[in-house]
Amino acid sequence: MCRPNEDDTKHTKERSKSRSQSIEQNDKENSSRTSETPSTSPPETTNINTNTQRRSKFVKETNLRKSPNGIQKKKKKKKKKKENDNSNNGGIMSILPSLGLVVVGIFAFMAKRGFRGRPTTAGIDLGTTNSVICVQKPSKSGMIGTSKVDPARFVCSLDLMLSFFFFFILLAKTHISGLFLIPIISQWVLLNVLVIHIPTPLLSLLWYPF
Amino acid sequence: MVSFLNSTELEALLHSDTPAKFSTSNLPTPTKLYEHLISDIQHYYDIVLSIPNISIQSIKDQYESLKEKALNSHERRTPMNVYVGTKAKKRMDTHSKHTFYHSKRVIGRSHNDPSIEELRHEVPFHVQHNLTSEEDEYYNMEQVVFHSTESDYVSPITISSHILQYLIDLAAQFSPTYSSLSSAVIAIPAEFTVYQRQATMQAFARAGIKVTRILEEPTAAALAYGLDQKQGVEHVLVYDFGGGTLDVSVLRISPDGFVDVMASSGDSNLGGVDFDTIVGDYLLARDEAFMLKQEKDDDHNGLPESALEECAAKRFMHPCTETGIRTMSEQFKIELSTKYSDLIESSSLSGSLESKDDEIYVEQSCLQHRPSDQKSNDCSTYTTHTLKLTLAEYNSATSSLYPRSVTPIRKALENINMAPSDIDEVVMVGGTTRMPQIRSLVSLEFPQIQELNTEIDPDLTVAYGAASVID
Repeated sequence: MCRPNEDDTKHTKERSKSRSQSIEQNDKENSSRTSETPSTSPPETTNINTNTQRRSKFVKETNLRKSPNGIQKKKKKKKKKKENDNSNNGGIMSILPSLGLVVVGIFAFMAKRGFRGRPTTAGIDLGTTNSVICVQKPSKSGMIGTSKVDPARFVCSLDLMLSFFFFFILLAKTHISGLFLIPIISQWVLLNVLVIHIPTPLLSLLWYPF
Repeated sequence: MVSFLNSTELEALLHSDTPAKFSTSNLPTPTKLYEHLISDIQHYYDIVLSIPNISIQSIKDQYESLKEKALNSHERRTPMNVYVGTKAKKRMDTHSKHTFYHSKRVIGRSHNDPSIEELRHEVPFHVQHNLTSEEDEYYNMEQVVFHSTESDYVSPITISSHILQYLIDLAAQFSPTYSSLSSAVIAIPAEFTVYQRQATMQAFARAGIKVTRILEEPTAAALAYGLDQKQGVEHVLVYDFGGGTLDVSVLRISPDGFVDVMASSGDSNLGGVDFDTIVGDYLLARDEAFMLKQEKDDDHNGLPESALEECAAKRFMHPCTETGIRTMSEQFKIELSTKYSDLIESSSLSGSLESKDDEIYVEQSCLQHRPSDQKSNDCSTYTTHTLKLTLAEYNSATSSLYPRSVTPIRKALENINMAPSDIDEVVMVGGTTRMPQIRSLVSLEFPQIQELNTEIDPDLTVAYGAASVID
């Protein structure tokens, strides 16, 4: 096996030391240059021109004209982007599961009410003298508003609709995933399990602080 | 029991050859009627509450405003156009040989079936053996065809497919929501054979409709009233008195809600049309001299069908021909039944009924052919003739049909050794069950039944039941 020479190692160490020193010097120079730009009072155009002549490439003249704190703002924007990209820190991504739940809940509610989309099947009586076609209404809730409505069902469905309405208000206010289901669940339990009717606005107001 | 006639009258009507007179003097007392109305209202709301799944929209109901009161299974075929439904029926008077109907009576039947011969004598168009069809009778569904001319013929399956396509189009026109209808739950008579069922399925396939489920018509009628879920109901009698046939079925509903047809009986030659035919014959015989004159004028003038049709349509009346008077007799039946029912209801509420059968009457005018000395085609030269028919005349003319209308009930019950008292519910289906006389006769057969199931429009009941089982 061949070993490196001791002279070579010394040379490399010296080179690295000199490089680090030069980098430190450059940093100091840069910091001194940035400190030269006044932060509180707007700079005079003459000074800027003189400064730009001395400045390196990475500071643009236009940025300095528009805002003296351009570099700091850029950094802030980058930080914001990083925050948005990072899902662990919250944002829209954190609401997505809740929105998914909402969509599923709406579909479940509609399905429970009998909504099945556009009907594709009809009942047909091909008679001898008369023929009749009958189609189910898209939703059982379509009965609401006619004279044949069951008052009990009407009240129930109205409450549920109001619950959803207040739930959306609540969702918009709190942005807390999971908690928004509480008024809906409590309403459902009260109506269907305990058979207690509490006006929805009142119930929803109880949960409003959340 | 809801009976507008007393037992003596009904028995006399059923068991005697002499025409019985219907009298409105034996109506329920005001107290009884009040109870009947109350129970009726309760029953009405019972249905809504106990069967919440009845959220069915009837296209027919919605189209009443558009004068599409009924979708009649009549079809007129021309080389260019096919008219279906009410349009075809309106042209029936003047295009009788080109208007095909009663296709259901012969669909899927063999050419040597007795019903084919029967139909030949009833309809003005030609019913013939399809000589161009395959020789294998077992697999050929189009052995019988309807001819308007020698070269122009159509099979009952094709007629049915036109009607079905029209129904689907009508639903799509009603609302875009129903534009994607492509499948159907269908109802067929319980006594249909395998070939008749296959032919019906073929008609649906030809119309581009996929059949998802097949129900028997009496089963569908029972489902429409939710009797499969009603407690304490085991045996149901479905009385289906339609335009062409009378079918009586006894159903057994198991505790699990399964519905079986135990027995069925019927009269394939008795329907609402027969009432119209008899009344038409009566009117023609009564006004014999007038009709002879009409025929003579008709022969002399040789009027084209289109001219008479045009004038009749313009003046909103039927022509005074044999076909026209037969069509008018159906309207006589409907109007008399309505008047009779309304009179019973109103007079019972007031507690007195002064009018007699002779005082209940309907009048209609028909368009006479122009006199032979007039050559003008102007519609104003045509005169009108007024026909009047009293309820007494109507009942007298149709008296021979009433005993036949209850015979299938007794036969069906005898076949399974059941007594009328074993029946828990009776469902009335078919337009002819609107006649108060028929309702009274059926009620008399089942004295233990408080009220017949008549709340749903009898023309729509089967379709309601079919639609109610859509998943």
